[in-house]
Amino acid sequence: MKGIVFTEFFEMVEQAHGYEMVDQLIMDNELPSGGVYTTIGTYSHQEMVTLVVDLGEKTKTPVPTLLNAFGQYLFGTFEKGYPMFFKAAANAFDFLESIEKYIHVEVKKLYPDAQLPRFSTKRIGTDTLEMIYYSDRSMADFALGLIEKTFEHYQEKAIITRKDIVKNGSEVLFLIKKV
Amino acid sequence: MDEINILKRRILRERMARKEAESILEKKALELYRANEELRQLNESLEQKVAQRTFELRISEEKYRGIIEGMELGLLEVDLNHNILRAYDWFADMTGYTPEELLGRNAKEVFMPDATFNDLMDQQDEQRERGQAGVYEVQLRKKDGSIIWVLISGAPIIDMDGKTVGSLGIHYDITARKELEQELALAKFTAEQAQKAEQQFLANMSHEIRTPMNAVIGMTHLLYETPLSETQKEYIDALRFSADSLMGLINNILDLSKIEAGELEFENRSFNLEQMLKGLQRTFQFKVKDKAVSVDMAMDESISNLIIGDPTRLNQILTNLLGNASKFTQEGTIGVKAFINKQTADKYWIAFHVHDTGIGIPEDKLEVIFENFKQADVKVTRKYGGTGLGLTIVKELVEIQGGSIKATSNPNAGSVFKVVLPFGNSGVKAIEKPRVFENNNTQIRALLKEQDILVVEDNDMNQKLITKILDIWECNFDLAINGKEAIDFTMHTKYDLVLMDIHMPEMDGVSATKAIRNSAENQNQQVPIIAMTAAALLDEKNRAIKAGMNDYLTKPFSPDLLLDKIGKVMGFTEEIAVETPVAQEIILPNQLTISLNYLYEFSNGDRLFVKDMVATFIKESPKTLEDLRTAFKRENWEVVYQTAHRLKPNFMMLGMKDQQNTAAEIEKIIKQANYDSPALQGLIKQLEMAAEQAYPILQEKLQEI
Repeated sequence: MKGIVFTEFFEMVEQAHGYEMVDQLIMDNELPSGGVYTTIGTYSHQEMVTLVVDLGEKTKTPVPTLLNAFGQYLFGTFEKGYPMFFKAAANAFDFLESIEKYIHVEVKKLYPDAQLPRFSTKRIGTDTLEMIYYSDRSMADFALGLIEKTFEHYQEKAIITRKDIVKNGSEVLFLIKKV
Repeated sequence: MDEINILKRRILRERMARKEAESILEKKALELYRANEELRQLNESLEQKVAQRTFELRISEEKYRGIIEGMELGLLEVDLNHNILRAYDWFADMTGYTPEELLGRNAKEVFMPDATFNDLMDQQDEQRERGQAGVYEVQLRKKDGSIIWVLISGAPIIDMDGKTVGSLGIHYDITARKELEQELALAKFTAEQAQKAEQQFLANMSHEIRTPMNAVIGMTHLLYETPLSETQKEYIDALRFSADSLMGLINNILDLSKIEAGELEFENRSFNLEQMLKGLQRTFQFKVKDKAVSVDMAMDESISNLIIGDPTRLNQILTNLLGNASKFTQEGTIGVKAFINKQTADKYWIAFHVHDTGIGIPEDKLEVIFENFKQADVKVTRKYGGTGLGLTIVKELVEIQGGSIKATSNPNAGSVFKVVLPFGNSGVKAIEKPRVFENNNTQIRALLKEQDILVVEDNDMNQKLITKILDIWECNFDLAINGKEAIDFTMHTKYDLVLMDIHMPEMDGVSATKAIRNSAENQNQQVPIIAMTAAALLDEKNRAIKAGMNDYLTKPFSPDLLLDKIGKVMGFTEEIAVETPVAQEIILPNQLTISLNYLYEFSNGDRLFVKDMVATFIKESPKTLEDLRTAFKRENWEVVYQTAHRLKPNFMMLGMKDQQNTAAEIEKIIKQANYDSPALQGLIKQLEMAAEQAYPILQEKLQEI
């Protein structure tokens, strides 16, 4: 997992609970990296799982809620860091479709070792998009946070229905209906 | 305290993260550098390869240019406006310039002597611009002003985008060849002119000598009709003998010139060999009547068909050889033995052994006697006369026809001249047709008395001769002195026969005949016309027949010969065919089939119609075939096509299927614009040959209808 996810995660935790919480998470867990992350580095996905689960316990918050909040938070980082991707799409549907076809292609060029989730999209009529998330990481809630923020960005509204195709969450359908 | 520790840990973590980032960056920078380095090396090696290939290409190009230059071919590269981009050494040498002098100059301005080749050059330019190569011949002006001929093979120079940017010309100096061509053309022209002049001279001489000779011989004949003393008769005999000899000599010289000019024409028609030999027998029996010599003729019975060849020339050959035989034989036998020497599907090789029991020829002279003006012995000339031309002509006549001749002899016992000649087999049985009035001239003369005859003749002596004969025969006749008068006469009076001279002032006989035949108002449009010509040239005779004359007589002629011709033309001596079981369809070996079934069916058995159609074919098709040949020679394809098209139904009507197909084939070849087809000439020749063979058969059929 790319280092930016960890640094942004700590950023979010610090903003919400202060650096003490960040320090607690590092001190209380056995992290191979020792809690030292740099945006351009690559670290084990397991460390993120450990951190999120521990944060849930410490703050008495369910993990899905945390992941969704983290997705919404990270959207802001992406919005600031990569405005060209957002300009390239005229609306939310176009943008969501461009993730697999365009954005992830570009990411792979820059970080050949990046492990990205896969998306497939299909339009049903003019106002409905069927988007399926595929990933062994089972972080569909994180993706949902990003999707929700996308509609905010384009100042559009949508009702998003989530349905697990595979029980462990490695394949999840989002039925997105514009309002 | 806790806060300070947390802060310390945070600073430590930040520092470690920074170090980690720095080390990652350094690693990435190194990777980038290596990637760049690798890229650079790849580029370098690519450039080297390109350079290497370019070099190799240049070497190869130079090699081929070298080869071309080595072959004495001049290379010149120009742009689209003929500005010289590069002139190679040999081209520069060829034109007298240095390559540097030519660079940048306009090739057209420098080399074109005048505007002669402008059209050709424009045409070539267009081809180059379309990316096509071309080969052409032009003249170039050298630096010193002299002109050379070059053969140029021009090819477009095409750039990387496929656009034509100029042309490359390979120049080959053909000045020597052109000069040779011109010299040859001039030499050929001169030779042809000389030959024409010689031919003209011979034709004139033939005419000029024959006309007075005609009078001499004719007058001799007239003298016989006057009361004569024995002495006078003897003198006249001598006179006639000399005149005949002189005529023979003139004919020989004429023949020999024609042989030498390659102008001798041979007929190809069917004839009855047995009849010819019998005729010769009668002639020579008469000749040797004062000597104890008998004339024997023997013919192989297996030669039962009419044979195809030139009867006139065969007669000439045998007459000549028998003439020698009779001349050198005082007692015993002379004669001819004819037998088949060899036979193929469509050919007879007939051997003629002309034998005598005369003085013979010494063995060492057997070859010499065939040479010009050579006789076995000078004493022979003194004792027996002769010019030494006879055997030379015989040998030529035999050999031109693809035959052979040799002589064997025992001195004082006799000689045998062995001639072998090829003839076609007509496939038609030779049947002797007895004449109704055979040798009964009085009958013809009686009939002739009731006819009105027009004589057209300009020469005084000839006028006297012919009018005298007609007087003796007690005929009614008018005399016109040229073609113009003849037309006037025929407009006003109805004649039964016209005897027409060919060469006359004002209007000649050919024109007059054409005028009579082409005028519907002329009551004599259909009158029989016999040409009287002094020229023995076959051309002249053909011209007469083509103009519409029915027959011709070569002057001088005997009264008997004239009577004979008149009898034939007027139908007095109509030959009656003995009943002949001739098959409806005659198949010759070369696939000539003739059948009149179509015409009979077409006309419901109207004999007159069939006869008319066959006669029309015999009359018209030689002209049409000649038109075909002429058009072919002139490469007038349109006319070739039309003529073949016209001939096709004619052949069809006569059942000549192969010829019908041949004509169709010619049409097809022309239609496909396949003018160079080697078959074309052969097909035309086939038609001509088939027609030649068909005429005698059709003539025969004409008699049967």
